[in-house]
Amino acid sequence: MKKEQHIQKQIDETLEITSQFSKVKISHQFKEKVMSQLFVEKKQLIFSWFTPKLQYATLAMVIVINTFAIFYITKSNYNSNIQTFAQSFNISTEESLLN
Amino acid sequence: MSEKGFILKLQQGDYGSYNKLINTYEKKVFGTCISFVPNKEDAEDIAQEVFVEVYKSIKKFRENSSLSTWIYKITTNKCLEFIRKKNTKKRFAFLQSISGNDIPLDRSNYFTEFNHPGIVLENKEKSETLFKAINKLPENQRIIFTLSKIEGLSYKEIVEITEKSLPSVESILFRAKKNLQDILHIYYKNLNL
Repeated sequence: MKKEQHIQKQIDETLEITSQFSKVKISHQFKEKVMSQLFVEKKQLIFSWFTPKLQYATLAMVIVINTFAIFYITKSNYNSNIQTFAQSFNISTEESLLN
Repeated sequence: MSEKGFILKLQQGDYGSYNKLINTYEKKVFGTCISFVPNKEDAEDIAQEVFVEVYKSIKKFRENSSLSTWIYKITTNKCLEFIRKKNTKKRFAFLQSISGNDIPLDRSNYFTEFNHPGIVLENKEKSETLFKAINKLPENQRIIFTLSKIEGLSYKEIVEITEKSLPSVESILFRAKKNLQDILHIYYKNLNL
């Protein structure tokens, strides 16, 4: 019986503890933090259309275009180099203006 | 400036109006956050998210309640979101630990660490016990008990925030107190063994 009363006393004290809470002050920097977050976020919205997916797609396209460009430049250089080499050893089948 | 005019300025993203908004509501918002999550740092993080949400959602505000009530609703939802996430992490960590992954686990807290500056040291243990007991309540009982007994809101204010009827709020509060009695009874019975 005494034990039960003791338990109930502990329960009552626990439930009543809220009446002893005092008001808590928020930190001084809170407002500055929030304002800078709100208005920095606003500036970032200007480029919000350029999402990460779009960024990766653009990068992939740039790489592909560059690869093709390098491939074709290299190929045309190769052909003209072969021609020059052949002419210098007189083994070209094309007619020269000098002949 | 009327509330309508103030809301219009907020919808236009007026810097000065947001400055005024935070000045007016930061204490109430933070007070509510720390009532739900008794850790100063966590409560400040949640309060910050509340104002960001207000900024993002102000254009959707239909003015079917006061601005204050709307902000309280956002605050309550953000607190519950935080608690749900923490409780999910606890459950996940518990599953990890029983599957053999050694992850440090604190199964008892939904807050980082009990750090409520409004509670004196001698009351810390009982307060922590109370918050853990509140965490075991069903969500609607937790909301109403916290808003009523910890935040100290009137029944009228709770009715506006929760959009429940007055009899419903009274009934839920009654059940919350009864459940807390039962939870604490088991806790203290085991403690006194």
